[in-house]
Amino acid sequence: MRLSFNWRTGALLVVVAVASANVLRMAQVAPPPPADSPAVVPDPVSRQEHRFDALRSNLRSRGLKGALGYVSSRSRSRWTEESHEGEIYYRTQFALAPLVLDPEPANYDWAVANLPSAGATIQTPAGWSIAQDFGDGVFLLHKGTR
Amino acid sequence: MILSVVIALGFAWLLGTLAASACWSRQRPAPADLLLLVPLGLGLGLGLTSIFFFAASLIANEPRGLAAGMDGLAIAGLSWCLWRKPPAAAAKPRPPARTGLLVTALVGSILGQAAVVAVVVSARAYEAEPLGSWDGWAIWNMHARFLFHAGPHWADALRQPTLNWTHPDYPLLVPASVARAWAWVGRDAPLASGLVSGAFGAATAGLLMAATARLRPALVAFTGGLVLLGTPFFVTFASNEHADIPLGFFILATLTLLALSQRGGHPAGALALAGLTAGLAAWTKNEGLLFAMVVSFALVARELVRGSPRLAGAFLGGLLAGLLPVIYFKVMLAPPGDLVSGGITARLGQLLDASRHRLILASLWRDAMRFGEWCFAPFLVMLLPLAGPGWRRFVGREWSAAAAVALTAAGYYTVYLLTPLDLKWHVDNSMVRLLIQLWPATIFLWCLALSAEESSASSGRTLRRPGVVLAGFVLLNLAGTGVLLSLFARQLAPNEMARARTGGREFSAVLGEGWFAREGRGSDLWVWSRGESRLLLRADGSPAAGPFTVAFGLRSLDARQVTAKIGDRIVWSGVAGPMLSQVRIPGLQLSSGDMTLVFTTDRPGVPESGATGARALTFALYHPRIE
Repeated sequence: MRLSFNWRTGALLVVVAVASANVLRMAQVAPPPPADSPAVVPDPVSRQEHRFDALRSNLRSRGLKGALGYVSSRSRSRWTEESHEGEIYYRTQFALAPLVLDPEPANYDWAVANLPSAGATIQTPAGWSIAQDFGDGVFLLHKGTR
Repeated sequence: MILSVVIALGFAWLLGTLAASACWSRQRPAPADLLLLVPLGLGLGLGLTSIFFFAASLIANEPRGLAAGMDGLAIAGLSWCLWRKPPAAAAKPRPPARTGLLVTALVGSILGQAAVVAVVVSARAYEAEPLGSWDGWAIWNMHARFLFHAGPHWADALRQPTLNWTHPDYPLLVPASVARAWAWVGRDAPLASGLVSGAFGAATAGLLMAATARLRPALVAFTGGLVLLGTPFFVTFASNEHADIPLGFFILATLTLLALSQRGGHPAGALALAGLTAGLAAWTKNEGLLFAMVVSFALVARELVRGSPRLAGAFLGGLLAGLLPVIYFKVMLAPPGDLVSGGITARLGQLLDASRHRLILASLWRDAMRFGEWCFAPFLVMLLPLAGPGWRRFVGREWSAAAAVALTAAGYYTVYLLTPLDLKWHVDNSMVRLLIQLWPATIFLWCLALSAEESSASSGRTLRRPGVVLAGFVLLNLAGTGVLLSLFARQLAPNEMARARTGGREFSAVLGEGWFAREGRGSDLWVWSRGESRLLLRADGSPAAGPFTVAFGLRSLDARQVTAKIGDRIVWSGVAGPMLSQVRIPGLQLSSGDMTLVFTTDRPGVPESGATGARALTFALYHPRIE
């Protein structure tokens, strides 16, 4: 009985030592959040949230609900993994939920355009016009001319 | 906002603790029972209130009021039930376990410090990704947004085919808990989702230790807790807003209740609770449905064979209560899931495909060794206490608990064999999460498998004044916590190069634009510039500060001129070369609380290697200091 107990206690202390080493290592490698700096880029999901803040409020004030079209620089069939259009669409959908964004916009009167590299000029898809420009490549499009 | 979240979590916790207490015993719970019932109640309460919120969201435009009413009614009803129960009989005082007290107090102290580290690390993981990592936002928080914002028709919106990528068939315990917390706050605040997520992590650790401590010596319970908190993936994932930690909690809760049901005076109550937690596992994730099935099979078969249909009935009754929202959701609201689409019968041939077995087993070997993100995987040392006479056989329902874990793992394996998704992609993207779901339960089974003799590691001597020893350890722990927190506070942020306290002010040097990521080895710290780069110098407190000196080492791969400016004023200029040279810029004065040192160089960067995509390096700052 004494043997089992001493062996077990000693062995448990070895387990404790290994677990403690893991805790110490975890404490060393888990960095604090970055200090505030213009060079700090927030995580992509938070960034997308901020980009779409104004559009989100605007859509609410317009009373738009349900589904809208989604327009990106390429049509859905040409999205590639390398260009991350799918990921960007998912994050946009999250930012604007519970609105549903359909990457096939043809069936809708309103569409959200997410064109971060559009610069000063934007080539709207045929049949769509810009209802409002929210900056940083975020536009609300309306079918037809205004 | 924090107060609203705390109130929301507090009501859930109270409800869960009352529900657990009402089932636990025929009397009111004794104070000692609360150590177990409180962590159990936290997860249980979040599960039950998520069901109320889900039900309210189907009826009401603003489900908060209705859900809060249901919470209140349940709390009142359960309180009345408990009030009617006779008070707990005075527990027979256990002789103070003086033997082994020193070792137990030592390990308990280490555990206490590990808990402090875990809280800080978990909070930092939350700060890095406040909306959770991929599944956190793309599935669980996304569904919570529909529940919270879309009114009673949220399910219609979420069912649209264009949203199939967000898995609208997944159960709703986590989204409904998060949406409930948001409803209390009044907006979809990320902190609320982070706290709900972290609460499940804390409840898991607390329940593991509390349940183990009822069945094994405190030393074993503390060691089990330490193994869990020494699993970095568990700690960082706990606040990451996924559903795997909550599922792990419900799996653990079910198994601990099975094991404890043969110790208490009211096994039917404990088994009813176990059934409820198994049902809540199914309400958490689709994997939980598999767990609910296999644990029901393992337990009900055993009880029927042993002629205890009443106990099997108690378990199934609890299970049904937990499964009701799942059944309603799956039958009435959810589209079919991707794993069952296309029919399973066509894929049965995959069961015999040797290449699939090889791929799954190879991935299992790879991920089992590293899923915890340990610096030292603990498996081998965990075998040590089981060697020789330290091992004991499971008894009674402990076998059902062990069988449930084994069958769940076998079920996961079979799902991989039959998956219609690309197998490698599926395994690579999910196996570590499946392993972390089962990890708390596995640690619990490991603790159960250890022999139960009380420790007498203090060489058989009894301590004369155990109270004094414990008080000493408490003081030591408080001091240790203070030291730990101050060490955490002194850690540099990833974009920080130096911090110093001088003249009663805290100064820091922060990387602005134009640098590659900071590098380090041991105590060495350096950063390479891309060309023109900025170093922000800051002082806390009042705006004006100084004078102070910035000192650093400077190196380049070739000989080049480097200039440092503040605005248009050149504050230093010199030649950098392959040998490290020391630079001092004295007499700096902060007039507005911060200033920017702009570094420029006269030549473009030099590729660091011949590889494509190699960085073009100009010059590097080593060990910046503020004096």
